Amino acid sequence: MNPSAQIRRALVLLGHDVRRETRQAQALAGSLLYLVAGVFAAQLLLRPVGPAAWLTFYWLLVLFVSVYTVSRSFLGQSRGLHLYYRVSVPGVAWWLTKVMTGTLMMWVLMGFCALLMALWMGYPIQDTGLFVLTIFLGAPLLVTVLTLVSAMSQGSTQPAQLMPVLGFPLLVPGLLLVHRLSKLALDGLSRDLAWTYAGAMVGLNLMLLALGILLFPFLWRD
Amino acid sequence: MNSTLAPKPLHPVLKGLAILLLVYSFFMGWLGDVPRKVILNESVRNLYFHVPMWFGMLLMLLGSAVYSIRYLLFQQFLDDTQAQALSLVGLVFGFLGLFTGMVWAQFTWGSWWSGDPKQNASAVGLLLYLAYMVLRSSFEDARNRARMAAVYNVLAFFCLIPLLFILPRLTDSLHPGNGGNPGFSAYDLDGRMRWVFYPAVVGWTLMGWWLANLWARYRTLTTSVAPPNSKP
Repeated sequence: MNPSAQIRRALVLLGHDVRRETRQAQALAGSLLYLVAGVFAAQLLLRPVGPAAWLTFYWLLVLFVSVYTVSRSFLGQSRGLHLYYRVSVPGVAWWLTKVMTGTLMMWVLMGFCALLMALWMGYPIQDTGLFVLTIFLGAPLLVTVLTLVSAMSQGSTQPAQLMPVLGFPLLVPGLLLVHRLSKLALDGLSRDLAWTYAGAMVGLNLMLLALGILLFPFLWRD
Repeated sequence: MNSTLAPKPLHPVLKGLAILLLVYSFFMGWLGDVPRKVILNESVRNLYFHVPMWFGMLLMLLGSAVYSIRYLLFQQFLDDTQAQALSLVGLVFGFLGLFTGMVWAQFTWGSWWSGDPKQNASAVGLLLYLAYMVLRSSFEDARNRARMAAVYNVLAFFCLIPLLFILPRLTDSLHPGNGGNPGFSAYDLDGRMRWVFYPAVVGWTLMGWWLANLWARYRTLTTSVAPPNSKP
């Protein structure tokens, strides 16, 4: 199949997947509640909260909620639905769809987490534009790696335990970049250095997307 | 493709070369003449032991990734076993590299662990490949295990590259050649050390290849789960 047809197919599937997610709204609601509970517990424990601790806690919570959200989109699927997709959808289209749906969800969740933390723990970010850019580029980094990892751990004997064991080390390069870039947003200094990190993040995103296109079909066939 | 039951043994010439080069590098490493440097003093000899571990580890992991790609393309269990063997030896080299590095760091930088970007990157690298072993152990079906492990291995290798080569350059490091520190060649004014260092790298790499070969042969001969040459 030529690439444009592949992408068109992925877009159709994206609409389908987004509709499925909104119909099963309790799933996304579960992730949102995860954040509410997490931020509420943190603001009880971390008081007063310094800017560096704010940022560290933000990324830790985002990391945990992304593992929870992405793994649910695979492991929470019913066996029948999963088989149906396997038979009817080519791996590459499914990969692009999952990355897009996951990224959309993570944008929502990351924004929501920032709002919650702003409400309960103050808002130390000085350069909000740069922080939004970090979220924009950071979400696909988390989603690409975790989608591949959840697809990998699906047939294993303990999928839920494998997710963090495989995912965290793979996410370290991305998390380091995300943290550096958002630290610049926190301090609100000159944006010169920010472009280096943003460029590295775009590069890492593209590499992971390409790796997924090459590797996902192998995870998909059975 | 492979008509034999197990991987072929390493050629005797390569085995001999590995022993010869390692004996030479140990002998010259302990007794040879080295430049006198402030702070480094005699610990500069660790260059012959610490740095070849990293070269060896990277080459082993590269080989492991190549075998994993081969497994994905041809579905031969032999390739999966080779990939596992090479990543195991890579892990051993990685742990030895970290250990020799920590000892060196204690004597020159003043602490066992200073959170240097390269120290962190190599620790994460070890976690990546330990996770590979965990992944392998959590599949019951041999074909599933081999397929998932191969995909993970390729992904892990591609995540290791930005970790080891790109991120340390974005921050200051205590290692030579980073953050305004003089490069390795500055310690090596007359090129004497190169005559020991490069043979040591080649020797350790050959030794690692030999170890992985032995492990893969042993593994193929003792497992009944994964018969070589079986097509799924």
